[in-house]
This record gives sequence, structure tokens and C-alpha cells, in this order.
Amino acid sequence: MIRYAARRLVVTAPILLLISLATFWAAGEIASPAAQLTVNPRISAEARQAYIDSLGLEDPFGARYLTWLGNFVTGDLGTSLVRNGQEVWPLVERAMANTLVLVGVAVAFSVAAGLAIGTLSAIRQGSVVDHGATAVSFLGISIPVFWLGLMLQLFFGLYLANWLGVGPPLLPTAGIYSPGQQGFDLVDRARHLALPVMALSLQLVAVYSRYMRASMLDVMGSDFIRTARAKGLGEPSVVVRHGVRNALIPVTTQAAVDVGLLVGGLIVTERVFQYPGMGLLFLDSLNSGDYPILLATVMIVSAAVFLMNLVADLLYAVLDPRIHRV
Amino acid sequence: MRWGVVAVVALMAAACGDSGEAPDSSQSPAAPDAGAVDAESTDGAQPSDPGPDGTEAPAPADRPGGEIVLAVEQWPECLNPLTSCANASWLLWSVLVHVQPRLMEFDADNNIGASPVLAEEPTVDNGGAVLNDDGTLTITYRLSPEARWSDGTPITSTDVWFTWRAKLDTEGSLNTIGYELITAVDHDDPQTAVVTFSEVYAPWRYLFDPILPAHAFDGETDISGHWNDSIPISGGPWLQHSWSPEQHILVPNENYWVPERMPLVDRVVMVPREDTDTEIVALQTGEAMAAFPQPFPGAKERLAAPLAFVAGSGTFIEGLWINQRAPDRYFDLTRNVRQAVAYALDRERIADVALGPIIDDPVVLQCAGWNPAFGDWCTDDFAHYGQDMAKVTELLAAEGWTRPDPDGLWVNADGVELVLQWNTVAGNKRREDVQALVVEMTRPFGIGWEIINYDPGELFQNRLPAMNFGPVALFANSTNPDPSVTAFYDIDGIPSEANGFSGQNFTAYASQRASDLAFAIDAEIDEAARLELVRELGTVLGEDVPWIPLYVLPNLLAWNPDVLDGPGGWVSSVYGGFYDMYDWTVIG
Amino acid sequence: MSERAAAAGTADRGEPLLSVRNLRTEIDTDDGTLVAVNDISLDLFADEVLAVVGESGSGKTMLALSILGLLPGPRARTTAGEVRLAGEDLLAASPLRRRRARGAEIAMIFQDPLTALNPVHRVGDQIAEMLRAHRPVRKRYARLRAEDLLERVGIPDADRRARCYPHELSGGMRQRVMIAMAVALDPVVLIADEPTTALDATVQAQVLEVLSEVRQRMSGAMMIITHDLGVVAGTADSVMVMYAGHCVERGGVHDVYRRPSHPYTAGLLAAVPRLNITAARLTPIAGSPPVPVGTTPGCSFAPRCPLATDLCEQQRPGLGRLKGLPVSASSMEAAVACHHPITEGRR
Repeated sequence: MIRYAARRLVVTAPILLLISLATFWAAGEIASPAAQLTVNPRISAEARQAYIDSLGLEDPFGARYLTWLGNFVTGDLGTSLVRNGQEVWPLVERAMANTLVLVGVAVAFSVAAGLAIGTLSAIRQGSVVDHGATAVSFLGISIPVFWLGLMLQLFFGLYLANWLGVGPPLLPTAGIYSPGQQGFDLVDRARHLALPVMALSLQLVAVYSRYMRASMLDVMGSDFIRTARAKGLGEPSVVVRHGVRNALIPVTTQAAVDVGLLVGGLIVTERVFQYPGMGLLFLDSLNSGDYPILLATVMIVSAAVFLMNLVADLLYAVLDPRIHRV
Repeated sequence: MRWGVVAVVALMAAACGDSGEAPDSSQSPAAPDAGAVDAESTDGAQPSDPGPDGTEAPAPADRPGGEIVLAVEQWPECLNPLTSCANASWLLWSVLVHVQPRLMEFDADNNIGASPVLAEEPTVDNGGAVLNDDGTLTITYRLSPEARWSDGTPITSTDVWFTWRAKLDTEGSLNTIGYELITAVDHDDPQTAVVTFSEVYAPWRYLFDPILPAHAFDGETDISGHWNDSIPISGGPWLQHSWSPEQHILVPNENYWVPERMPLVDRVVMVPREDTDTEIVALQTGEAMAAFPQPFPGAKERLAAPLAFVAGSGTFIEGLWINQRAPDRYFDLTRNVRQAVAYALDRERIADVALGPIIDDPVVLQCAGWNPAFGDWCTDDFAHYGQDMAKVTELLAAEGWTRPDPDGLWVNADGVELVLQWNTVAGNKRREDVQALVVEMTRPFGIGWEIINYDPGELFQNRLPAMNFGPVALFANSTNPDPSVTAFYDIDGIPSEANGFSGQNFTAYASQRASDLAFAIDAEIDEAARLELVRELGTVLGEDVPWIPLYVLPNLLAWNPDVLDGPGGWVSSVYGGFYDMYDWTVIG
Repeated sequence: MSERAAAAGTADRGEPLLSVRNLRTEIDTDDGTLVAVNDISLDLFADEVLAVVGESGSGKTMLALSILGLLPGPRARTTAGEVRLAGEDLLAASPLRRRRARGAEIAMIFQDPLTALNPVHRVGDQIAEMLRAHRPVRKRYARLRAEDLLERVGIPDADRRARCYPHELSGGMRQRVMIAMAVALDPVVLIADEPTTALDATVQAQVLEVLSEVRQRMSGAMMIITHDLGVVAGTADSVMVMYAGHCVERGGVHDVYRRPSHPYTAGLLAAVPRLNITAARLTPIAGSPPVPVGTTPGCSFAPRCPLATDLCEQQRPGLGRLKGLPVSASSMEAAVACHHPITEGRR
């Protein structure tokens, strides 16, 4: 297993390099740091030159890329162009932590709900539950995240509270803490997480449940399911130990492919719910032309998506013993 | 000349940022210190609720108390008041104006006067502003003995001196215009700061906003390494309690010496709400009590009851630029032709179509394009232009235009039809609506249009600097509180191949009189005399029509009247709609 | 043990361990209702081996699944008849009771062990699961028992093999695993559905041998479903020949084998190389088996039958005893469903 993981990682490294090259090029196209420098005439020639040297702006593209890559790999993400020389890493670190919490909770929730709904749909194929889940899934797949986000805000923030006749909104509609809250507060943090997680999850739940349903239908027709039943196992054991366990294998791959899909939703979700994560940091840096931050966020997110695929590969191997021993 | 550079950068930012539905107020406009905000206040748009009129300083004990939560649309990325951080209007509106003192200040209508830091306003009459025989200018500020920082240290002339040095010495200082002309700040007397300029500098009133506490920077006059994530010392009504990417907390500055501006609540929390929809939801749920949103279509419905809002004149104005040297002109854009176009337009209707989706009573701009649309400077130079067939006929016939088909276009002696190429930013719905309307509107007047719209990059980076646009273009530009407009009417500043396309006179308006007046405005330190010159220039511009002003984009201030009482009075202010939150109270 | 003892204790043949009466199983298809099992009755006594023979599609497997109550999906159902296990009607029993009976009292070995074993669980665990599903035993004990069972079916190095996944074993090994699993709880009735079909010819014999050994060690009865008459010859006591859901002939294995009465049986036997038949695959009789959708008035085999007459086309022959035949030693009376049974000894 470990050797398999290592081998996959080795195969992955060149692709990650390619991604970094593409990212570096694209970010340079979107927000050229050289163009940014010309804005402020009051930055002294020395300071400007020092900055140019630090970014290697006068070097050819290849050298510039290598300089940046070297810095990036050693954890030096540079300093912000816009935020008065603030280090990029602390900003990114903070955003990353927030995003990890959001994505982690959303994915965990989506996987749990998606698998449960998909399984239930499959074993109750044709039932009201199945038709209901199908309808909701199609809604989930077709509703744009920003609209969903807004509707969730209105519903939980306004309508529900009005309807119930309670004063404050049932769930906070934005941010990660209540205004004025200082320091960590689990309940407050969780309440602020609720709506973004819902917005981010609906699509995933829909997609995962569809995959799971299809996969379960496939698996439940297998001979080994009949064997399990012939053993006299109870239906829950048959479904979980033999059905779900095997149905997960194709779903895992699909789910990993869809992680990329999550990124777009993440940016929109973070924006709608004012959630200070990587998506918001990316948007801010894009708007302000803050090249080092832009580059760092895009690179980290691309790498994360890519690594998620790797993780899914490994997970696939864990789930399916036929894979890595072949 | 620096002025012009900054102004045009701001113009680009404004125009480019405006390629969508609403102008981008995040980019700092052209004002030297304050950020230029339009404030041609009109009675109709004025707030209905000026808020409580406190005259006594409420001691902490009898302060009504409570907490105000405000939504901030563009969260500042850093706080340093001198560096590029200050490029963001929202830094000014959400932080700086509440915690920093200044020497001169604008009122709610953006007219300038003495701030509470000063004992009196320096004027020519009281000897505060003196134009010396050697051409230098001396301004003597008399500081109020009561003025003090939040740590109790008095605000003195040393702070004025320090501010001057910091403006010049700080690495990456955003704007040093004016400060570069200062040769000395005499601060021997703590209560008197004598500022000497090497030459006459009419906009001196806008300098020293803010002023910085000299004792807070360990003697360093380069403050670029300070105050990036907190402003620990206040000279305003509020003191910063904490600031982070997620929230900004202000508490009353107990050492503030101006009783009528002592805050009535215990705390203000500002939170980012960068998405308009989210911002409005926050208002509706009461999670945020007030917001100062960019104008957006549908605002008048979405901000209506149970919310409340006021609209005031905003930072940006839009109008028709007439490029007299457009390569694509088929005939000369003479004064008669320009006036005829102006007489073919119903600008009330244009404003209604452009801004109707946002507010009910849009403001038609009546003063010349580059003449600031603020306070007393803006008058009614263009008010006489309205649809008038007789005038159009008279003006065009005088130059040999005829109208063979009474329902057709005017044709000149060369047989060329009166058709004007008109450019604007492609995909900007508001401007494209205006184009469609105007095409219809001017047909009966025999004026035709050839509409060619471009991407912002093409228009502002390639065509505008090379004078390769128009002859008519519909742009937005930001105005600033000072009528220093030399760059735009400088007869030698028309970009051309000969001068390497330098200069800012983008309408190619070659009027010696206007050029001279613009220079004279820059050299006149007496406010009353200066106003006279501005009015005179306005009249000239109204006659010559180098630019046809259309409308002022509004500022909106919205709040939830169930939870908050007081906002509205400063909606048009360069200081932003939250400026007077010291007067606001929470309900219930 | 007790059921089996009880069953065995009843007089000579006594009560059958498994008694199927007039079983009818229908499957809804897009073309109509298919009667996969049509009025089948059989008795299975202790220590007896019954071979159910027929081409694919003849309803053999559906018969087995109907007995176990494992019909696939909502479209297949048993509509009539009874399945008595040591006297208890399973079709009338509660779902829980039927589930408890599966594996513990009636176990089944499936045709293709590769697909019938769960690919993601270790084979030892899959055997242990059988034990733990019915007996309150610890996991560790179940594992050890699984290893014993693997050893019993002739898998060397059982402790290592137990940790293998199905794909890591050979086809023969896998089928041994299936057998070990099926006999884990000493079932009263063991049903083996084409246990050698999916295997290489060379291992078929080995697996058959294992099966036969296993059978000898258990005191219950076995039902082997096959199209391979070689299996019948070597291991079975009696035979039931199925065609299109019907039982067309039954009797003692030697009788049927030597003197087939039904032309279909005769055809089957003719298609098989004689004696020592390990690698034989059925060479089909001309034509293909009908899809038993709807009811045809006559004999289902008539279209392919060399002896068919108008009568065969019009009237379905009932299952009846043949005059002149000796009484079978098997549990079931010899019987044939044919208007023109072959009466002379043909070989």
C-alpha cells in the first residue's frame, strides 16, 4: 500500500509541476506584477528594484518561474503587493484553515448524506423515497450556488424567523463569528458554518447520491449479494457489508473527479456568505491585482484538487483489494 | 501636473471599474487627501432624518449605549493611512474618518471649513493665508488648545510638522501632491503651525487630512512599517478597539474634546458584506443595521420599507465627451455642432433611463464636465440646454447645414450627413440603454449616430490616450472637491503625436480663455475670488460645450429603521455615509 | 443436528428432509409472464443426492432459488406450492425464520465462485461471516473455524489462504471456498448449482471429489444442479430432468442413465461422450430451448422432438409412471412426461 502510494506520488510530481507552470503563466497574464508596480510613483527606485529582484521580474520567463517555484517550495510565498508588504503565508494559512473547515464539514456531510440517500434510493428503487430523492437531486444539480446561497440566507435569516415570530435570525447569514465575538466559540462558529455548508453541499449531495444510487443498483444485482443472502445474513448486513462496501469503489473515483467542481462552488459560497477562506482571498487578490496572493491561492487550490484526486486513487486502492496487487 | 496624473489614473480606474452595472467606488478617486466624492447635494435627495442633535458630551454613564453593526462593502486590506492601503475608499469610510483628526474638514455638503482641531480657519482676511511678495505662500494654522489624542497628549503643531514629513518620507506614500511644495512647517509654538509653500498652491485647504501623532512612531517619519493592522491612537470620536479581516470594532474615544460628536453607543462593529445581495439580507435580518452600498439596479425596491434609504449625489458623473480631433469625424465638431447636439437632448429623460432602476429622482448634472460637481462650485452652467428645435436649426443653418428631407438628417455643404460615431464600454447596460434612447431622441432633430462600443481595455488603454475615439464618447469620471482643473483645459495639454500624446485635455478643447481661467483658479488662494473664477470658467464651458454633462451617479445609504435611528445626513459626504455614526442610536 | 437426527430417525425413508410440492415460480418480463418453475414436486431424503438436469434456461436455478426464497427482485415470485424443510413449510414461514434457515439449514453453492464471492472481503472472513451470522461466536473463533473448513475442503496452507482475497485464488480454490462456506454449519440440505461449470476441465474433477467427500461427511441431503450428465453419473442417486420449467423425467440415476424414457433425456445423453465423462460439455439438441412465456397447449419439447406427433402439439403430457419399468430405488418414483416415451432399452 505504502509503495503504491509512493509510486503514485512519483508519477504525480511532474503533473504538479505542469500545473504550477500553467498557474504561474496564467496568474502572470491576469495580474502582471510589473504593471502593478507602475501605479505608485512614490515607491523609491531602490525599493522598486529590490522588489523586482525579489520576484525576478526582469528575468526571462523560465528563470522567473524557477525562482518562484524555489521560493514556493521552501514556503516563501513572498509579500503582498497591495497590503503594504504583509507576508502572504499568514494570510493564506488563515484562509486555508477556514476553507479546510468549510470543505471538510461540507464534504463529510455530503458524503454521509449522499451515500445514505443514494443507498436508500437504490434499495427502495421506485418508491416514494426514490422518486423524491431523484427530484431533489435534479434540483440540487441545476440550482446555481449563488442563488441557493441567497435563498438559504433569506429562508433561515428572515422568513423562518418571521414565520415563527422569533426575533433574531434562526441562523446567521454571513461571516464566521457573530459581530463582536472575540476568540473561539464552538457554537457560534458552528452556527455560522451551517448555511455555507448547506449551500456547498446540496450539489455534492445530489451528485453523490446519484452516483451511489446507480452504483448500488449495479452492485445489488451481483452474485455475491445473492451469496450473502444465501448465507442468511440480515438485510442491513447485506446492504452495508456487501452492497455499500462494493458500491463505494466506483463512487470514490467519481467523487474525486467532482472535487474540482467544488472549487467553483466554494468561491461563490465564500463570497455569498462572506466566509474568509481561500475563495474570498482569491477574489480579493484578483480584484486588487495582488499577484503574489493570487498566485499562491491558485497554486495551492490547484495542487489541493490534484492531490484530492491522488487521495481518491489511494482510497480506491484501499477499497478495492484488486487494484494494487495486480 | 502631478494632479493630472493621479486624476487620470483614477479616471481609468473609475471608467474601467464601471464596465459593469455600477460604478466601482473601491478605487480612490482623485482628491489629494480625502478621496474625491461627488456631493452636489440636492434638496430632494437630502436625508429626512438628520439624527439627534447632541450638544452635550454624554459621559459614559449617561450614554444611551448599545452596539451598532455596520456592513462594509469593500474590506480594507491594510490600514496605513499614507501608503497604497489608503487607495481604498472604504479604508477612509470605515476606519480613517472615525479615528483621525484633520486640520480642515468638509461638511455634509462637501464644503470645506475649520475642523475642531483648529481654533479658527486661516483665511486671507484674518491673515491666516498670506501670499508673500517672493511668490511663496504662508498658511498659519491656530490649533485649539482642547484638541488632544486619545492617550491624552495634546494635538500640537509638532504633529502638523510630523505629518508633512511622514507624507514625504514614507516609503510608498500614495499622494504627496501639495506637500512637495511645502518648504517648512514652523512648530515652535505648540498651538501654531506655520506652513510655507514654495509657490502659490490654491488647494492648500485639502492638505493635512489626516494629521498624525508625532509621538506614536518612535521618531520615524517613514511610517510605512506602522499602523498596518491597527491604529492605536485616535484623534476622532472613535477609538479602534480591534481590527481583523473579519471585523472592525470601534469604541468611543473618551478623550475626544468635541461634545456634540461624542458617540451615543458603546460600540460599533463593522463586518464585511462584499456581496450586494448578502449585504441587503444582512440589513433585512438585522444582522447589520446600516450599509453604504454601491448603486445597483433595483435599489429603490430592495431598499424600500421595511428598510429605509436615502440617496445623495455620488462620486461619479457621466457625460458625453466630444473629441474635437477624433480621427473618425466626418466634419468639424464646431461649437455650433456641439451646441446643436446639446439642444437635441432631453437630459432629464436620459437620467431617468440611466438611473431610474436605482433611484426615483436622479440628479441631472448641470455643471461642466471637469468642473467639480461639489458644494458651491457646481452651478447651472448647462441648465439652459434642453430640446429646442429652433436652436438646433439656427445653429446648424448658420454653418451651412441643410435638411433636404425634413424627417432626415442634416447634410453639410460637402454632402456629409450629420452622423457622429459614439463609443462607450461594451456590455455596460446603463450606457447602452442611454445610447438607444438618445438615438431615438435625436432622430426628429436630424442628428444620427454610429454606435461602436469597445471593451474597457481597448477603449481606455489603447484609444483614449491616443485620442482615437469618438467624436463622441460616453464615459464616467470621478470628480473631486477641489476645482483644480488645469490639466483638462490646458490648451497645451491636448494629447497629440507632436507632444507624444502627453496631457489630459482629452476633448481637444482649444480655448485660450478657458485655459487661462483654469490656471488662474490654481493660483487664487482667496476662496471667494476663486469661486468667482470657477463660475466664470463654468459659463465659458457652458457656452463652448466641450463636454455635455448628463447625470450624477447616486450614493445610497440604507439602514434598518427597526433597529437603528439616525443615519442619512452624510450620504453625499466624501467621508462616507457612516461619518456621523456618533449621532446614531440603537432602538429597542 | 437435532432436525437432521429427527429427519433421519423417521422410518426407512421416513419424512423427506426437503419436500417440494407443486412449486410454481413466475417472472415478469417485458414479453409477458414467464413460468420459470412449473408445477415441480420433489422429495429429498437424508443422505440422498438428487441431480437436477437440464439445459440453461430450463428453470433449474430458479427452482433452487425458489426453494431458498432468493428470487431476484420484485419481478420474480413463487405463486403456488410449498417447500417443506423437515416438515416445516418455509414459504409460509416468517421472513426471519426463512432467513435463519438459509445458510444454516439449506446452503447453496453457486455456479461462478469468482462473482459469487465478494471481491473486497478476505475469503476467511467470508466463511467466518457465515458462522457469525447464525452462531454467537467470537470473531477469532470464527476465523479459526474458517481455516479448519478450508483445510477440510483440501486447501493447503489454510491460515495463509484465509487472508487472501478471492481474486488471489485459482478457480478451483475459489469453489472450494464456496463449498467450505456452504458446509460450515452442517446444513440439512446443500444445493450446488452447476458447481463445476465455470471451472477449468482439469479442476472440475477435483472439485467434484471435494464435494463428494463433503457430502459423505454430512448426513443431510444434496441437490446438484447441472447440465453435465457426468456429474449425475458419478455422484447422484436420483435424477430429475427439467425442460422449460417442467419436470419431464425423473427416476433413479442408473435407470434414467441407462434407459432414458423421455426423448429429451435421450438427446441429452446422446450428446455426452460415454463413461468417464469429465470434460464433456453438452452438445445441444437441435434447436434451442423455448422461452416458457405464456402457455403452449402442447408439449414444450415437441418442436425439437424427433418423435413428436400432432398429439404432442395439442396436449401437454402429464408426469406419469411407465408401465413395465422396475420400481426405482430412489426416493422419487420414476416418472416421465411424454406421449411417446422410449420403452426399449437403447444401449
